[in-house]
Amino acid sequence: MRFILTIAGKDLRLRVRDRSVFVLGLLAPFLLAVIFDLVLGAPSEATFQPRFAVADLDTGPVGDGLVGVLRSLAEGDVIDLDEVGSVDEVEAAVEAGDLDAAFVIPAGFSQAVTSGGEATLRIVGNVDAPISVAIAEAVARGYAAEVEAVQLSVAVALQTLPSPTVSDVATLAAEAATMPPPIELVDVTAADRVLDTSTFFIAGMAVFFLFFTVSFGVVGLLEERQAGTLARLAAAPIPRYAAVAAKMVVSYVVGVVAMAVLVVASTLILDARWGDPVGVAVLVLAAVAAAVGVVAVVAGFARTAEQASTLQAIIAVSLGMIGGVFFPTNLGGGFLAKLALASPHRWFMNGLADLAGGGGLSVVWPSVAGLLAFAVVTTVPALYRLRTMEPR
Amino acid sequence: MTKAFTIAAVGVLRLFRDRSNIFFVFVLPLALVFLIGSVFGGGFTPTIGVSAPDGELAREVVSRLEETDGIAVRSYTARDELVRAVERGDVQAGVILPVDFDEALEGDGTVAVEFLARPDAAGPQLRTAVAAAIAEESALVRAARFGARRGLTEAFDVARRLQGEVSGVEVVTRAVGEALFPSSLGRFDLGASQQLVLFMFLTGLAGASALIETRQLGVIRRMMSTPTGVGTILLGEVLGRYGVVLVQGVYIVAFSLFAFGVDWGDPLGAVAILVVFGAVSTAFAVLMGATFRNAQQAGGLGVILGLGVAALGGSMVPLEIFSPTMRRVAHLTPHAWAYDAFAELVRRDGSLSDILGELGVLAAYALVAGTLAVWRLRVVTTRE
Repeated sequence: MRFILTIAGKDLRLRVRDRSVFVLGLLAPFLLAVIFDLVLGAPSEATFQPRFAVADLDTGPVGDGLVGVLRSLAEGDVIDLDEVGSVDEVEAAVEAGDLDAAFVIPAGFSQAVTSGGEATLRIVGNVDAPISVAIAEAVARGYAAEVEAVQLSVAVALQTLPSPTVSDVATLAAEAATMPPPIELVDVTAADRVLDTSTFFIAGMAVFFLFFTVSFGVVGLLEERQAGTLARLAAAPIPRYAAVAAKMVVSYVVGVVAMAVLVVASTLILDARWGDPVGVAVLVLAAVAAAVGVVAVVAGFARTAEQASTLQAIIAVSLGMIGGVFFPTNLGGGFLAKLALASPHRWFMNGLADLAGGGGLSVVWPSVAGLLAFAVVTTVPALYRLRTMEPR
Repeated sequence: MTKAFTIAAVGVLRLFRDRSNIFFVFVLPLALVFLIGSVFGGGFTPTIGVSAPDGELAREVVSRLEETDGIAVRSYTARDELVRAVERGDVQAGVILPVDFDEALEGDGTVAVEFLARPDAAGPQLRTAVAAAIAEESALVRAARFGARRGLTEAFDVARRLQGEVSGVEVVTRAVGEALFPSSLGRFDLGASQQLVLFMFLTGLAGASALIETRQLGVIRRMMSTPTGVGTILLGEVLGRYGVVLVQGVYIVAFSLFAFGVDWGDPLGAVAILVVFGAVSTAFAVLMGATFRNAQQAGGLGVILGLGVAALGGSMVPLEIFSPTMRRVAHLTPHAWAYDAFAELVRRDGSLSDILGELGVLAAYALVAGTLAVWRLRVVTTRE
């Protein structure tokens, strides 16, 4: 144990003197997260509020009904609503992009509906607001369905009357309108297991560069072999595994320290919200173990330090990319979402996302288990390869 | 001049000799074009996850949702799975139909459909789409029940038959305004031009390390001992960097054109952007290579700069969704000007003459940074 600590201590001193580890381990993730947050941090989803207007040229009750539906949506802050008198005015506003969509209730709309004539609701939508326009269409369709429900109810009920009169139709319609809706939409609020953008970027960059930071330690073994010092270590009266263990300890310590600094610094400076400290700590410890395992197994199969660094960089970039540290690959769904689980980065981000929904250790254990599985699967063959490595 | 080209050729050859470059120069850019195209191609479409039992009425609700333009629907079999997906943000909202959906509606019961959304997502807005699909389905059930209450037998069948006969209300939508991203814009088009400038610049900066190595190994000093002018050697080194950047650029354009059918617009204009933006990247690469002494540090800094400036310049998210202030800041980077030039060519079918302004700005970047770079390089090479 003493040998391991001596070798690890010497390596750690070397790492601190070579400033590359600070550039890659701290500066790069922090600066990139700041830039990404600055550029991409606009919370597009949270502030999404369609801007609608309605031009009611109809003076009847059916048109008023739709305006009422829109008003209640506006009161619930689901939409912004302007009520305007002229069609030209709303069309110009939509065309200019000042409004996302406008409802036009044509003159005689109520008359057409009650008499069973052709009734048309018009929507003018801006081409660049497809989601808002879809919402507008949905509101209109929902209201149209209400109207149709009454019409259809009357039509069905008329089948029971041999010779219906006009007043029968009016009575039936009034009665049909009071039928309780058979399907209710019940709102359930889901827990929010999604990282806010600031935290997403710093967490993503931190775990991405972690795979570069930890490589310094393990690759040191190959450097020592090339420099001939590994042969000297092998000749020394210390156990065979001591050098390998020392390098992995160095990797692990450097990784944990870098992550800890990033977590604290981003919490203080960037207002990042990592979640429950215990949960974050366990996740970080597991993630670093997985990262050390991955770089160690690469080092175990590489011939030279350069080759190892190159391979590690390729693997780190690939895993980071499919793990969605740059942009959320989970939005693609299907295959990409499944592929992402092959990346320890995804498990780390998932664990943090779970923490964002509240809770501590109890919610992160699946992600921690996933990360530890990566660590075991990679560390075991790595240890075997590195321990039996020829010292020259 | 032949000597300068020979020096340049060595620079390009070194790019291919280093096998890691095969990944970073040739595989990674296209993998990113593909990935970004797959995830974001065609813009962001909110997705509603649906968990529905098997049954005619339940299926009708789902297909009504699917018919809603601008919203995607993804099916989930297990309720837990859907809840998880909503919580994680994989889908923007979830709809859960109870297992007895059909039986309850054909009977006399009231059915509760759960609408699941996260507090910060666009839940209330997406709810309107779900409410519409349900209202449409309710119309049928309401009418059938209304008929049954008045003693009609087989009321469901009667209602279904009459559904096509009632006049109803037609909803007609008309789109106005000029589209930012025309529908002709291919899935990979936007991402390809963004990745092109990102990687031309990044690969250029990575070349700075090669230049530092050349200096440190004394290759330049040795060349100086041959009967070769300083100007020729400098020209050779600069051309070598330029060659590397051009190889990267031409490769991305050519491969994405054939593999993904990316539209690059007017060929003359595209080539002009490649040539001028390549010069900008080269100028910055040489400037960095002549300023730093530690190849590793320059490499790390190159990655930060290459990715950071690219993010600022619209190579990661389109400039159009930047705030006006950020857009002005973005135009401090050469990337934003190249982005604008490609937007003009690809989206607005512009030609070379339409992008002269952007090309001029890029040329100015190349000239200023290039002059500075050559001056620095001359100082350090003649001193070493």
